Amino acid sequence: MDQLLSQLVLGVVSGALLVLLALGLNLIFGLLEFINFAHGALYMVGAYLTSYLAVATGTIWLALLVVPVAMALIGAGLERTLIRPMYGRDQVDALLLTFGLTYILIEGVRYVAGSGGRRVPAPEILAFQVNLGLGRPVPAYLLFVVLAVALVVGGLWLFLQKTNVGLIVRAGIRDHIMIRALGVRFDRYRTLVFAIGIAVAGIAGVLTGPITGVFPEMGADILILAFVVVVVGGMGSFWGAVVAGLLIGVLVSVTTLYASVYAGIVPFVLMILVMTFRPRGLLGAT
Amino acid sequence: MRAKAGLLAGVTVLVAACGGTVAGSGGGGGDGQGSTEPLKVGVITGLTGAYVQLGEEQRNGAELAVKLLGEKAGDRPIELIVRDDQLKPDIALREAQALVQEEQVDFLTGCVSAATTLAVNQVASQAGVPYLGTCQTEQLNRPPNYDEAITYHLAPTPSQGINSASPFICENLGQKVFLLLPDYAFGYEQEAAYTTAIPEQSGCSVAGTAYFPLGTTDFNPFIPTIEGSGADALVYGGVGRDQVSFLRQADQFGLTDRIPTFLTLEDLSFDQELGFDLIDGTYAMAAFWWNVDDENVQTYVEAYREEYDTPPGGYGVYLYNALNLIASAVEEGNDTPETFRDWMEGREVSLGQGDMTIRECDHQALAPIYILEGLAADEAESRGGDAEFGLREVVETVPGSEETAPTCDEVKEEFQRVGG
Repeated sequence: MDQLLSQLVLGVVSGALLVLLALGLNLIFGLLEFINFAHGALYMVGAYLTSYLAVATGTIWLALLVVPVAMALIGAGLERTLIRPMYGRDQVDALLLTFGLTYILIEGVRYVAGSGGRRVPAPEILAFQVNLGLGRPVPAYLLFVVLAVALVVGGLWLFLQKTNVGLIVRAGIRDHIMIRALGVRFDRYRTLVFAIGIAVAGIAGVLTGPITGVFPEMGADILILAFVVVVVGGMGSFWGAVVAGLLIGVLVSVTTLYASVYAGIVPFVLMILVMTFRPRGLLGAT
Repeated sequence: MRAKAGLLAGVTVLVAACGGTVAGSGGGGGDGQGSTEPLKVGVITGLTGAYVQLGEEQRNGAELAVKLLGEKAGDRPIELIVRDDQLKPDIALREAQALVQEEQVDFLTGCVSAATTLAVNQVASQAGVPYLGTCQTEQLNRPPNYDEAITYHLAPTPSQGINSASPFICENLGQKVFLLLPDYAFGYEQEAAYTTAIPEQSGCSVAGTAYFPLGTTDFNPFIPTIEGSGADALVYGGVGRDQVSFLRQADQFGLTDRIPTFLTLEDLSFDQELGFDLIDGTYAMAAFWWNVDDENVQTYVEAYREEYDTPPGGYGVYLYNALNLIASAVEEGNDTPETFRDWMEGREVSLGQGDMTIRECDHQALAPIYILEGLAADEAESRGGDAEFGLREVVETVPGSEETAPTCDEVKEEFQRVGG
C-alpha cells in the first residue's frame, strides 16, 4: 500500500509538469485556434535559459523570475511576426510553420550549446527529502515543483476569472467574432495569450531542469503528451487540462509499478477511449 | 470543438509516429573496386536522438583514423561518407541503401543502436558489402541476421560484458539484483544475459525487472518499484540521456546511496555531463577506458585528445578500429568481400582497445571488459594526472576470451538448430 501511495504522489509530480505545458497549449488553441507545434521547443529554450542562469548564479531562483518574462517577450515577438499572418488560414499552414520553427530552435540550441546536455543545479535549500508518511521519503524539490505548479495554475485561474482582461480572453475563447463586434481590439489579446502560454511553458522548463537536465530534444516527447492531455481534458477547458494532466501522470506512474513495459502507451489508450466515448474531453464544453 | 479535438488528436498521433524527425532518402544497388580508386567507407550512426554523444564519438573516431592513416589505404585515397540514422531502423535502411547504391561504398560500418545495426546489415548482405557493426547486440552475428560473407562485430555482445560483470556485481554490490532496462532490443538482450549469468553466481538472484521506453526523462515512478522489490543492488541498462536523467533522479531520492548501482554501459561523455557528485560510488562496465595502461590505447587516446581536446569515450574506438582494419586489409590487397573475410578471420591485432581477436566462427571481436568505479572529485584529484577526466578508475579487468562470450561450439550449435 505504501508503494502504491508513493506511486500516486510521484504521478502527481509527473502530471504537474504536463499540466503546465498543456495549459499553455490549451490557452493558445482556445483563443487563437492555432496549434502551436513549437510549444515543446520553446519549453526547451526556457530550460536552456535556466541552465545558463542557474550555472551563473548557482541556483534556479533568478531563472524562476527572469525566464518566464523572457519567454513571454519571445512569445509576443513570435506572435506579432510569424504567427499573426497564419490567422484565418488552413491549420496545416500553422502546423508547417511551427514544425519548421521547432527545427530551427533545436538546431539553433545545438549550434550555441552543443548536442550534449547541460546540468541545472537543484536549489541547495531543497536538497533534502521529506517523509510524507508513505514509507519512502520524497525529494523536497519534487514537492516544490508541485507547489509551484499549483501557484501558477491558481494565479492563471484568478487572472482569467477575476480580471477584465481575463473576462475578455474567456469570452474570446467562447466566441471571438462577438468580441470583435463589440469593438474589442482582439489582436492585443491574442498577443497577450500567446505570450502567457509561452511564459508558462518557460516556467515548466525552469522547473524541469534540475530533475532531468536540459538537452535539445527535450521538448519533443513531452509535447506529444501535452497534446494528449489537451485532447483528454477537453479543448479550451482550463480545469480539463489540469485534471487530465494529473490523471495521466498518476496512471503512468501506477502502471509503472505493475507493468512498466505498458506504461508508455497508457496516455494514448486513454486518449483513444476519450475520443471514442467522450469526444469533447473529460471537462470540455458541449 | 469536436472537429478541433479530432484534428489535434490526429496531429498527436502523427507526431508520435514521426518522433519529431525528418527522414532521409534512399537509392538502388551495386559496388565498385579498383586499386587506385577511392576506398569508400560508409558510416551510419546516430547523430541525433538519445545517443547523440555516442554517434558523434563514432564520427570522430572514424575521421581521426582516416587522418592518422594519411587519408590513404595503400594507393587508394579513403573517402569517408557519414550518415545519420536518427536511431531509427527505417532511416538506417534508407541511408544504407543510399550509401550502397548511390555512393557505391566498398565497406559499411557504424551504429549505436541494436535496432539500426540489423537494418544496415540487411542492406549490406543483399549488396555483398562487408559491414563492421559497432554497437552492443547479440543479434548481429547470430541467425538469421549473420551473413558469414559480410558481417563482422567489433563491439562486445551484451552477454560478453554481462558474463564478465556478473561475478563482480554479486560479490561486491549485492545478491538480490533489480534490473532497470530499456524497452527495446538492447534491454531484452541484457535481461536474457543477466537472468542467465546472475543466478549462476552463488546466492545471487534477480529481484525484479522493469522496462522504460527509449528517451524516458521521468524516472521518478520507477524509484518506489526498485526499492519495493527488496533489491540490494541495482543494474541500470540505459544509455545516453536516459542514463543521465535516471542518475539525476535516483540521486535526488538518495537511491544510489542506499542501493549500489551498476551501469551496463558507461561512456565518458555521460560521466562528464553527470559530474563527480552523481557518479561517485556507482559502478559500470566498459569495453574502453581512456587511461588504461596500454601502449596502443594511449596512442589512440593521445591522438584523439590532440584532435578534439578531450579523451575519447567508449564508442569512438570501434570506428577507429574499423577504419584501421579496413585500411590495413585493403593495403594488403584484400579489398573484395572474400579476401577481406580471409584476412579478418582469426586476426589478432592491437588497436585502440589494446589486444583484440576477430574469431573465425562468428566474426566476433574479443577484447577486454573493464569494471569501473565512479570517483568523488577529491579521490580523482588524489590519483593525479587528468583529474578533470578521471571520473572513474578500473577496479577489475576481464580479458576478452571464450570464457565470457558464447563459445564457438555453442555458436555452431545455434546455427545448426536454426539451419543457418
